[in-house]
Amino acid sequence: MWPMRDDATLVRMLMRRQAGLSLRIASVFVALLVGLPLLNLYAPGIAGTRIGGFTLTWLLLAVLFYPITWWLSATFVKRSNEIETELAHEIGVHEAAHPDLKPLELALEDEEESA
Amino acid sequence: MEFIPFGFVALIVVVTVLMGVTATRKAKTASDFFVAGRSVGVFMNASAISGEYLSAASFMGVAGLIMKNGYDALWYPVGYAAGYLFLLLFIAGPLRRFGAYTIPDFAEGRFDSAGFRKVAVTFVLFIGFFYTMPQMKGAGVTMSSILNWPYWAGILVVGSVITFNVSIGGMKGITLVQAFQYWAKLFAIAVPCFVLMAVFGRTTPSDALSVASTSDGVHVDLPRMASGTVVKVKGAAAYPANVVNLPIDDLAVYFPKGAKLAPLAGAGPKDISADQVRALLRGSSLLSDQVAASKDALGILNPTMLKWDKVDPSNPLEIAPGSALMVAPMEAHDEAGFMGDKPLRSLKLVFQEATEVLFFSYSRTGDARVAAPNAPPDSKWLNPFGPLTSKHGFPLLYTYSLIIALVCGTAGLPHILVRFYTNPDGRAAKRTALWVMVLLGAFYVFTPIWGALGRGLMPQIYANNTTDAAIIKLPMMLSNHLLGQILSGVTSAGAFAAFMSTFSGLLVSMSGAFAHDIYGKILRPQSQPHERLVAFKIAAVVVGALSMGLGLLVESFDIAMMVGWAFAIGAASYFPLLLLGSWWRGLTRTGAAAGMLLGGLASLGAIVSFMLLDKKIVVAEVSPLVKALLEQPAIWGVPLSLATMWLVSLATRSQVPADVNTKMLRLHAPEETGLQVDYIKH
Repeated sequence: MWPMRDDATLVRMLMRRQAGLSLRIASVFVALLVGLPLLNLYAPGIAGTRIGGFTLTWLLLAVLFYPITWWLSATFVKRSNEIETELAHEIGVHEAAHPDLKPLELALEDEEESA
Repeated sequence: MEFIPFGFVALIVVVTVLMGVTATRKAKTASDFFVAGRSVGVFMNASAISGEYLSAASFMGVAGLIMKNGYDALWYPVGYAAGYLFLLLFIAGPLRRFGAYTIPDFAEGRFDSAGFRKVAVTFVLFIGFFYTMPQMKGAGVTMSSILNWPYWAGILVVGSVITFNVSIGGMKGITLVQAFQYWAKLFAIAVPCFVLMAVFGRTTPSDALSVASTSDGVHVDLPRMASGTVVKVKGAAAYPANVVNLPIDDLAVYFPKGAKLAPLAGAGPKDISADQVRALLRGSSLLSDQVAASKDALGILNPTMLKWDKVDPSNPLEIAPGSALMVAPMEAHDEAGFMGDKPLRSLKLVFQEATEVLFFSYSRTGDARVAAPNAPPDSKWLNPFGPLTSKHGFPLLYTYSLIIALVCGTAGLPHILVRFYTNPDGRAAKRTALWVMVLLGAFYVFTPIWGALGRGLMPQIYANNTTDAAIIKLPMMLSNHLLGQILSGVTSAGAFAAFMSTFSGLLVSMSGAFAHDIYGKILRPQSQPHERLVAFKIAAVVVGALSMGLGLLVESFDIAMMVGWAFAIGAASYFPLLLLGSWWRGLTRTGAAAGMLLGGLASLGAIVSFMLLDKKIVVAEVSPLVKALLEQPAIWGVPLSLATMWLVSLATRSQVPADVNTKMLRLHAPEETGLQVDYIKH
């Protein structure tokens, strides 16, 4: 159990851990997004290396970009779940957590009317 | 044999409608839908989300845009798919925990402000309409490609069918239907692609880049089509899609039905003068004997070469039926003053009325191949910073702005977030996001192949700016006519699945916004649920009709580009709201509303201004930098929105909700801790 149940401190700690992970992964992603156009602009020789009729930069953007983002998101999901387990352990577990309680009534009503 | 593709289209429509009706009957109450959603497995749910996400832009537009622009357009599929990473990293987790299903719900719950909900709802409509326009264009293009219907007829019929279906309640966000749609679309983009690659083998895609003619043509790097290819061109209403940039090459154009052209002078890429045009045209007429030889081979009856010296290039040009036109090759350029560092590459023909033209080689007969008008040369198509991003002269800026719009915009699309949280818990939600990225990547990886196939096999669709139809028309290139029709039917059905699922989803969310938020909360708060249901149906018909009307106006815009604009508006409105709303306690409702309105409306205004300028509805001198920033506003729109939110929130600090820490706990505490229960008040 969290000693004082001081919401402000607790929130800051929760957010800091998750945000740290998100920012680390995002920085790799942003570096790729910013870097590839720069590579194309300043190193056209490397980017333009021919590979089977197309070029290296085509291979990077048209094909390899997808598995790279898959790997980044897989890493994130794995690490993020670990962090949650650690946090849950540190804070302690309340009993009432039940998934059925989660949806806002608001959303359910709206859906019913539009049906 | 057009009935074969039509049969496939009819089949997918009937199957989808029936699946929807059956599933709707089974789910008796609305909560059934949510509970059922919560018990769906990760893989099923990821399929459903991908099924809803892959719109006409993904199915037809991306391939067409890659065919048209080459490398630069690859950012579109990458942005559409990789945008999910930002969503996963910063928004998916908190938003799902918050229990909000729509962004207006989040807006109201996070700031305890029903008024803010209204601001959020207006953006559902802005983004929705921008997103429906390209879906409508997809419908028009598909029907005109497979059944030769006029553009408007396809929109009218398809739009009415879907609108009717939505208004009777036959098409909701049913998980099973959406999941089926994903696999139908993947099948439809993958299987014909494999067949085409197997049949045409090494002809494409690598040869698409080196089909250069070794003959006397001056454009050694343009894709080539068979001499004698007939192309339908559009009239003035479709500007700029009615422009044919005739490469100065071994290429002449024959007008079996005549044509009306805008003045030739000043129409060139380099503002050529009337004298220069005259000099070029003098050179042309010398070659009429060779043209006469070609026309015999092509079976053209009685071609009359235009009497060029009598043409006044400053006046509109009326070409009699049976005339032919060509522009002299390089030698004549000397006289016109184009030789040296700046040879003229093409002459711009602007058609005022729709007609048919035939492109042929004036110097060779037999199976000669001629350069395709409007096609970018290999060097520009293959290399970064080509025609798409360089058109205003600021390629790096354009590229980054496009990337920001796509990556941030995915996290700001209302109809996508709605579907995202039908998961049992947070971990499943994250795994779902991961699978969505895998499924989307598996789909998008085919789009560049289609683009390259189109460039190699069907360059004539550059000439009339119909690259958006590449994926529908390409299978018809197969010499086995039956197989071609069947595969074209498969891709047409995939395209239908794409705009049916997306347009239905958008129509439901936009009509819902009208019925619940505008009618139910603003106009008549005392209305009964059954009255709102009637309002929903009326709204569906009105929104459907409006969407069809807007769809008629956008024939000349690329499908993927229009969707990019919807992303840009989402990126400057919802994305900052969700990012700061989830991670910054200091955000106030006034700050959030000000940022959304300023960033979102400024981006919307920029895009509409660009559309008006591009269609020449508004004529104004605008610097190229401003044009680039108007066309791709995300690079300033997103920071503007974020900065406004930050500054205004600091100024209205007193509005920070008293229970902001509880709200934040609900957003960020893992489910196991049970801390979210503290917040359930609704």
